[in-house]
Amino acid sequence: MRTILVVDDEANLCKLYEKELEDAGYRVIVANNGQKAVELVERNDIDLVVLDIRMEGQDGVETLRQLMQQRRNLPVILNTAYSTYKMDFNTWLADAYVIKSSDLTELKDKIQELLP
Amino acid sequence: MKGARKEISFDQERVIKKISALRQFNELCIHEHLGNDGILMVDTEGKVAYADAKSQTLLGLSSLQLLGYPLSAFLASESTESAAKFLSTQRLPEHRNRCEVVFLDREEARVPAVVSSTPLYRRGEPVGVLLVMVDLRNRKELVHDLKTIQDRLRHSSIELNKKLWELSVVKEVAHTLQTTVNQDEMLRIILTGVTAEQGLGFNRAFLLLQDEKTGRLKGELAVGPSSPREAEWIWEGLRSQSHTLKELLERHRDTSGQFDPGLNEVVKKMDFDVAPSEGIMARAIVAGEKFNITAASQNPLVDPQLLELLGTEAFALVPLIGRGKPFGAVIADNCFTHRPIENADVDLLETLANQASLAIERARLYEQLTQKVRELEEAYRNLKESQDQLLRAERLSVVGKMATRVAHEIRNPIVSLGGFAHLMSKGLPQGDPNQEYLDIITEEVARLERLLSEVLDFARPVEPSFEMADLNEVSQKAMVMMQPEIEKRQINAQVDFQSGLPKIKLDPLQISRVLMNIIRNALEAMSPGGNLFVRTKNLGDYLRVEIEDTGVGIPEEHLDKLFSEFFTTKSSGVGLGLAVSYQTIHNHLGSISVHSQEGKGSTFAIDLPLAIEDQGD
Repeated sequence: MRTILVVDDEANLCKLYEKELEDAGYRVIVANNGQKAVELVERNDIDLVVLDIRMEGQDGVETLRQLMQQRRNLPVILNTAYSTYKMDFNTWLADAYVIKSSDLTELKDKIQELLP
Repeated sequence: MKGARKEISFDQERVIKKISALRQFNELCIHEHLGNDGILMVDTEGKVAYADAKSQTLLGLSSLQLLGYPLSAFLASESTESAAKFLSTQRLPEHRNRCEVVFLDREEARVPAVVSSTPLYRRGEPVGVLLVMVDLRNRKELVHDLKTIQDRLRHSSIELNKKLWELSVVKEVAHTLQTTVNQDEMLRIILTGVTAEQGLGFNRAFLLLQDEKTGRLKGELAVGPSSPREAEWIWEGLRSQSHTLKELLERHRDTSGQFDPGLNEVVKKMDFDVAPSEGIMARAIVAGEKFNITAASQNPLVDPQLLELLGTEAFALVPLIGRGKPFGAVIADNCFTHRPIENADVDLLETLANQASLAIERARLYEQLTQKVRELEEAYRNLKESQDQLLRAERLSVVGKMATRVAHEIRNPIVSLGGFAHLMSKGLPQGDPNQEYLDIITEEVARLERLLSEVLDFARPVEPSFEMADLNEVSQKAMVMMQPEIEKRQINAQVDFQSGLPKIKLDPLQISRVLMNIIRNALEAMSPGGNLFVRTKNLGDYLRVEIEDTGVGIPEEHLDKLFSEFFTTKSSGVGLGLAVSYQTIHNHLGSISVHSQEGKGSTFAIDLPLAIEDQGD
């Protein structure tokens, strides 16, 4: 079973993603800030990260940079309410970019694409 | 005493000299005045008392041979009777003092002369008669000269009158032309001046103008009757009304449309190539020559087509010249009265044509000026619009920043709401009544999310992420996404994708969003049972996606505002969907257009270029 790390400072969203992705057949670990995400990747065998960008404290862009230093080939999907982060070249290290939506089809499609 | 006598005699000598000098001076003055006329003085007995040098010359006699002899001795016998009259010392009216007599000179040759007599009086008593004689020997020459001068004067007077009349015609036409800048009106005024009896009096006149694009000389307008019968009828009518030229010109300036229809059918057939030809038309329009054609069918320079259209052997042709370059021609003839056309008529026609050319040139300049003013006004309007847009954009950018912030804050809770509703509905058993409510929550959330996307995309437009993609695939994806809505609204959807479309550079996500947006609008415009067609085509330089619906259509007055931001006719929505779509297609260097008929439906066409410059994605 593949393990997905969901990083978001909105507890409700984390809960939603956890339930939806578990239903889709993944093991889900949740982190509510960037630092915690880096620690979790360190200790766990994570296959993919779903990463929010705007977060309290350390934001998603910085977290992405650290994750890439940790594991250069770890698949990361940026998930945000803003579409403009796409323009930020620091986000280009990510494998995909999905705008937050109540319909998780697109997110799930991307995950499936990256974890065949 | 001796000395005194001497003084006196000296004085006398001086007086005599003085008198003699005075007499000479007088004679000189008189001769200066009289020229070749002689002066004689005759006493009361009819004897010559004085004869000046001129009269001596005229008669070939010296004063010694004249003085003291009766004047009658020097007159021919037939003149002695009249001599009695002019030698009378009675005061008579001036004209009766003159008479013609014949003198005889030294050789007895006859010297005809006119003699004027003036009686001389001293203290009321007649003392004699002063005669002035005018030699008539060269009278014949004088009479001839006089006649020549009279003839010349008469001729000049006729010429002058003619010139005056010509000037008045030209002035009248030019004056009337001044009152308008409308070219059609001008042409009518000119041709009326050419044909009016009070004007140049030609029977018919045709005006041809050079087509600016093709260079061909084309018939524009004609004035005149189309048959002898019509001519009779028209001219009779005009004569009975006795209009002045001015009145006629005024009357004919704006009878638009119904102006000599018969003849204007003829003029519309006139269409001549002037470029290579050596004919009169070419020479008029290229070299500005004028022609007085008398035997057209014998003249190789006359185009047979022109001959056939005119149906006359004699006509005049003059060019219309503006700023040194001919731009048209006037043809005039007398095909009904057959009055010969004089060269002077052609000259006058040319003068009128010159005035006309100036006026037409003026009208054209005016037209150009008006056009420029219109362009400037248009430019000003555009500038104003741009300025307004700029102002609005500035305001929007502030609003945009705020909207982005608010939208982001709203998005997270909305995603939670919708996501959990979705989760719950998945867990409900079949037939649970709550299912319907959860579906409503899901739908409403989806609507809110769309609205947020519109606001965010508009406030902070995203540059496209170009990749080589298949437009059919993108369109198909949009259709799949819209399928639930299509089914829900019971719409018949048909797709017709042209196979083998080349891949083009586009942002698949953005383009599919545009297509979904337009498809959603189409669905909302239709009632159940409506038809939706989505087609793709290769149009050579670009690929087209067409979305056609059979909905209510868009009112014409809304069409130009359709792609403006915040324009909406829907009860919900902010009116950004099509504005964002427009921007997206614009960023793809494509175009989006719409054709709509109220009550029948609308068709949106999106054209995307096959090759676009590297956007640096």
